Amino acid sequence: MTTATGTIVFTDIVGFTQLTDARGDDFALAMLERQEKVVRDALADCGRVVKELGDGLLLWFDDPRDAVRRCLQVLRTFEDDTVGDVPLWVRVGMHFGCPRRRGDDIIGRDVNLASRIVDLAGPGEVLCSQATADEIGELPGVQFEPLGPVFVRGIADAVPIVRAVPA
Amino acid sequence: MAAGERVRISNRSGAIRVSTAPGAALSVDGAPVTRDEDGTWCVRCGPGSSSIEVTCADGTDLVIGTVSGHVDVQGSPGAVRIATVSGKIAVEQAARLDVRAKSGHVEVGRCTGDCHVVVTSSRVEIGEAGKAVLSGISGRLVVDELHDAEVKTVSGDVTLGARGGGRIAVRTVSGGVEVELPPDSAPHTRLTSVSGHVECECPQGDDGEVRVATVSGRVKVSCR
Repeated sequence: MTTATGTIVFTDIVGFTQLTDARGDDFALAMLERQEKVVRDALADCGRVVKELGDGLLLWFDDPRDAVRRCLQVLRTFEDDTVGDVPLWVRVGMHFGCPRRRGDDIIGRDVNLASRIVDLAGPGEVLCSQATADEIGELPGVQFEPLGPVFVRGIADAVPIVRAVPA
Repeated sequence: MAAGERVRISNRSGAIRVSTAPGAALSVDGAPVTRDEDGTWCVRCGPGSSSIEVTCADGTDLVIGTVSGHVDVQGSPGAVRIATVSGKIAVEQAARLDVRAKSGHVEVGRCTGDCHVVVTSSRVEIGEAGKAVLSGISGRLVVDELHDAEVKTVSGDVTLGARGGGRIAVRTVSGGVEVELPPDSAPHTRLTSVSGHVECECPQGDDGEVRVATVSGRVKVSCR
């Protein structure tokens, strides 16, 4: 297996389980399709959808600056978006690392970490590992606010997290 | 220790208690203290679950991480950031606050600046906040007194006591929303519920703004 260096991004629909329970499976499908369309439209040629994961997407960006910019753009689109009459709230977590490649898929600790970071985000938030912010350095139009060390399931040490916000 | 310094505390499952006092020197029980290159004091408990007690100066910025340990912050720190999975969080006062919790109970006395709370099913109770930015899935969100608010929740009920003149924006799917304003307030209101009951006791005016959008929750805005 080969390794790749880049940015692992997870998106997640907030409240998907509760909304599916309340609105039914067709509504769940509509939410997933809307999320995927908005994300794919925003990726252009700087990132790719690795796979769908329940109510989220696993994305890959070679350049962490593209990852942050495009994800902020995606969340702006979702800000006033609805599926039917229900708001579509999406959150994003990302980590810059070196996962192993398995065909088109990526696996490893860095992928696991990115998937835990998204769990900490609120609707409309982009959270990144400090490693991602360090790799980027300064990014015009974007500010990184430190949120501190966070313990996440399956990772022994506390992980420093930052929130990416438009400057 | 000077106000404005930063202390970072991490403890997987033991309790974390922090108290601040004017000009207090940093003192720690239960874990070693080191200092980062950027000057941040780091208090980190090793494996195990012992509790940590920290005393530091008023105005100190605190960054606290835990999985299930209770976090109790007393005194007047600067910016406070706390992340936990299930531990109970109590903050007497903070200049600014960012809390992330999945479950448990978040209780904040007073936050003079932005009070940012992201939870899943935690119940959140805030006494006073300059601006409350709250989001949750199912937990109840209550702020007794605030100026501005941005709230999003799926099914949690929201109760806000507003000082009036500010900007209140609440969006829920099924959670009920209650906003109470001072007597004689006349805010600009935009209240929508697709299938829930909407009730507004305040006259329309330009004394701040209250916007509530919900799918099936009940909405009530009152002036008392």
